[in-house]
Amino acid sequence: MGCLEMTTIVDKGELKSRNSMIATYLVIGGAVIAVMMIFGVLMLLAQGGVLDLSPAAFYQFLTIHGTGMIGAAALAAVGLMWYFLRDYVELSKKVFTWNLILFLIALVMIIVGVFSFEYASAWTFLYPLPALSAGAWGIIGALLYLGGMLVLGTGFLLLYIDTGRAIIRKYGSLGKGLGWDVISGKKDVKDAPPATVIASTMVTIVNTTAIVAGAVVLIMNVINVINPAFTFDPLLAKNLTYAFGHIFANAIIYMGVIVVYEILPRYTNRKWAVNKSFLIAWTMSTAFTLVIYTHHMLMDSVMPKWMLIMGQALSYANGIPVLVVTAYGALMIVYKSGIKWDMASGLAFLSMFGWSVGVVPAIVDATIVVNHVMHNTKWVPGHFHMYMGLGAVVMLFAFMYYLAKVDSNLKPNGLDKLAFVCYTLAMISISAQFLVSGAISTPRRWATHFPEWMGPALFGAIAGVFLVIATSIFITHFIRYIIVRNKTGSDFYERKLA
Amino acid sequence: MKKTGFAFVLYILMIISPIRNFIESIMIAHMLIQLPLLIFVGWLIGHFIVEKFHSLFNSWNINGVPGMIIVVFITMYWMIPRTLDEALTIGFMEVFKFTSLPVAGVILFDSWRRIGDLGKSFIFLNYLSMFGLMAWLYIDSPIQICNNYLTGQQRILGWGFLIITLAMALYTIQSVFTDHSEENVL
Amino acid sequence: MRENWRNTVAVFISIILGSVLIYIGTDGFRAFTAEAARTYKLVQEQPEFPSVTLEDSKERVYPFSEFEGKYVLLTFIYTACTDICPKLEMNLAEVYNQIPNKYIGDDIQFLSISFDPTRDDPATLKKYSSHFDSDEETWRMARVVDTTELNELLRKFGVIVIPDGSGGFSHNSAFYLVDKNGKLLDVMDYTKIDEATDEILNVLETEG
Repeated sequence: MGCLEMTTIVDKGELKSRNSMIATYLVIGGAVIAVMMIFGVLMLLAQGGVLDLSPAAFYQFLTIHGTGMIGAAALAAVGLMWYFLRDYVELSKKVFTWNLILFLIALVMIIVGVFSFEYASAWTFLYPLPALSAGAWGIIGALLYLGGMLVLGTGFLLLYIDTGRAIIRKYGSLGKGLGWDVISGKKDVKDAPPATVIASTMVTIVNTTAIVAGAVVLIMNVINVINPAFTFDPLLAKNLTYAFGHIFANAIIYMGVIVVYEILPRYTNRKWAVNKSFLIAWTMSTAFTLVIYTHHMLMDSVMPKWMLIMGQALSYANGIPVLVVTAYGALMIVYKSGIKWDMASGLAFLSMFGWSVGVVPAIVDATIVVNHVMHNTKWVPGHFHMYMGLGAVVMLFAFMYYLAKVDSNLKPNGLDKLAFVCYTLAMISISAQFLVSGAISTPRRWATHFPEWMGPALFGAIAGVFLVIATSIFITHFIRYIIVRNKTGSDFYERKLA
Repeated sequence: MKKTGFAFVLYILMIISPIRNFIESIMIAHMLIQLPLLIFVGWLIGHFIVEKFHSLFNSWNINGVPGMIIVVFITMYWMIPRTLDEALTIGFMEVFKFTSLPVAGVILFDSWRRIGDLGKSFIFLNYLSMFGLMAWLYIDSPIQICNNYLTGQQRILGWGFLIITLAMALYTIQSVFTDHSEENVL
Repeated sequence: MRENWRNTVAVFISIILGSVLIYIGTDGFRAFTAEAARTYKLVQEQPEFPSVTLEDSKERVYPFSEFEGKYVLLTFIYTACTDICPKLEMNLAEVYNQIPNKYIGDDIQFLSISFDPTRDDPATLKKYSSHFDSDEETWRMARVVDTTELNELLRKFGVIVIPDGSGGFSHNSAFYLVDKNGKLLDVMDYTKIDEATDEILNVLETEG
């Protein structure tokens, strides 16, 4: 363990096993996402007054839904990033495997903690909730959950240390990985690092920071659970918790977007042009992502005012630079290229649309005056379901179809196309349902709803059923790819596209 | 050999009771000077010991991970507030402190060479967050954590930890953002 | 890498040894501070409540053995205390309210003992008990008038009281559960109301 493996020449066997590890990442990530969708549907059914779910069960579902979605999407996104990044830098397969093992251990701990020991603090585990549950759960449940999150973080930390070191080894520093020497004019634009490396550098920086902050707050909670006489400043705890949670969740889309940078050029036979504004945009998003978590705390009147104003101002600015350069770049590369649309390119394009529209409600919510009214309503889940469901997760599915296409002779059929339409409409419906609920002041995180709030929830639940079906079709295609590939072997990788 | 001699002198100096009592009377000196120095003593004699027991280390600590785990546990143990108190009140614990930490130092010396770059970064970042947490615990605690030290001393120790954490963070930042392209091996 | 198995074995041994070290060092992950360790030791030893004479808010004077045959849940306080005692007593009231009525008075007695007898006379204690709606019967507030007796009690039950020089005291706080024979059964974290209630109910129910 621990040592880096140097493999400069990759033979077919090596390639095959590498791809199979990546496929394992994606299939576990995808399956967990699908199961978490079912919990989402159950919660909406309960809120819609159709399903009789005890509040305790509802909050357990809420906890597992949030934790599972973020964890699984992050895992799959890492698989995606790793697949493309390994073409540019030398990554350790051992670390990649260890991350998966630790993820699975964490998954078991969290599931046991939530379902066997009824732990239900929501995935934000906001201090001092893990220790003070008014008897809803005991010490063991809390320790299993917090411990699971620590194990999860350990795996990801190892992985990002590996990507960070690999990027530094190849490009000299993380600054150069972001192309700072090109921005400053020391190096020519045509020698700038590829988009994949830039995105990976950004994610390495922000997620390492997030995990270090997360470890502090997680162990702090563990200490408080074991020995409640040790108390901590709750405001600092909230800051660290969101510094961890916001960044980690946010980084998923910055890993996912790599698929857009990689496959659109291959489909169009054009190069993704990395220019100065592209580099500046990524550097800006790196910096902003680290500091804008304060928009989760706009209602904490005790926070220093400057931090909140910064949270508002920079939230506007956070995703925009990368979104703009990416959306513009995507449009430019596709424009009059005669691109052949298929599942992978279609999903990649949909994800850009989802990302763009998902940012709008976020910006509305990040405005302090609106936030005071909206932040505790379903408006906020509306925003992140759109952003994640139509943006980040779609990127993962795009990659799944891409991998199946280049690595096997499996062809998507009409059912896949139907699932594409079905997924898009269902996810739009679910997001809209949340936004409408928010607009009529439905509170978020409430196990039961008043009758006047039930309509949208029920509509969302029905849409959710279609979403689960569509997702299952996506994943079935991917599983078929794995089966086909195990039979025929992986000799399709070298095949030219287009 | 010179190093071993120096380590020996340092160790003797720290055992001499007026010096020991003085250091231990101040919480921050106890935790952040005496304990690290004891590890440092072990580190200094590390070469000598590891040479002696060459085959033992070579076969049981191949990649440095087993050794590193022991080091982490021993240092974690001495960061539990209770052990600091007990070292002052129970003679046996004081002896254990003066033996376990140099042993940790020896093992650290051997393991650090073996553990690889990834392991080093991982351990470093883990201690970074652990020290950050210690800073928070000692600065913020409303209760007196150690029976032998007042809350004022406790707070000073917390600030000491905070300074170390910040220094480690700054070191990390400068190290990842300065150019390493000239170096062959990182 | 032929001898790699040794390394793997060493990894497991290190983890086990390390865990054992922490386990022993914290009395089985129970006591992370010297204070907690002291409490733990106290509970192991089960000291007997010494014979002291109490004077309560209704000016009744009686020995502690008055409560023989009942469990006693007690706290140590002083009424001039502005920080921890009100919280301690509020939590005690919470436990009192959570215990079913059938046990109160018959099987379990609540008692708050003042270690500041000079200021906490019966009148003061009476006023103090009204703050927490204690009925002065099943939950009594009392002082130990005799200083020798008081010191003996504090010593035996491990209560450390240090005058802070400005009329207050620095002291440790907990719920003390004494069994029917006057032996200390447990020292409980006063911030964990539900856990304390559960434990008391458990004790009461097994007694029948």
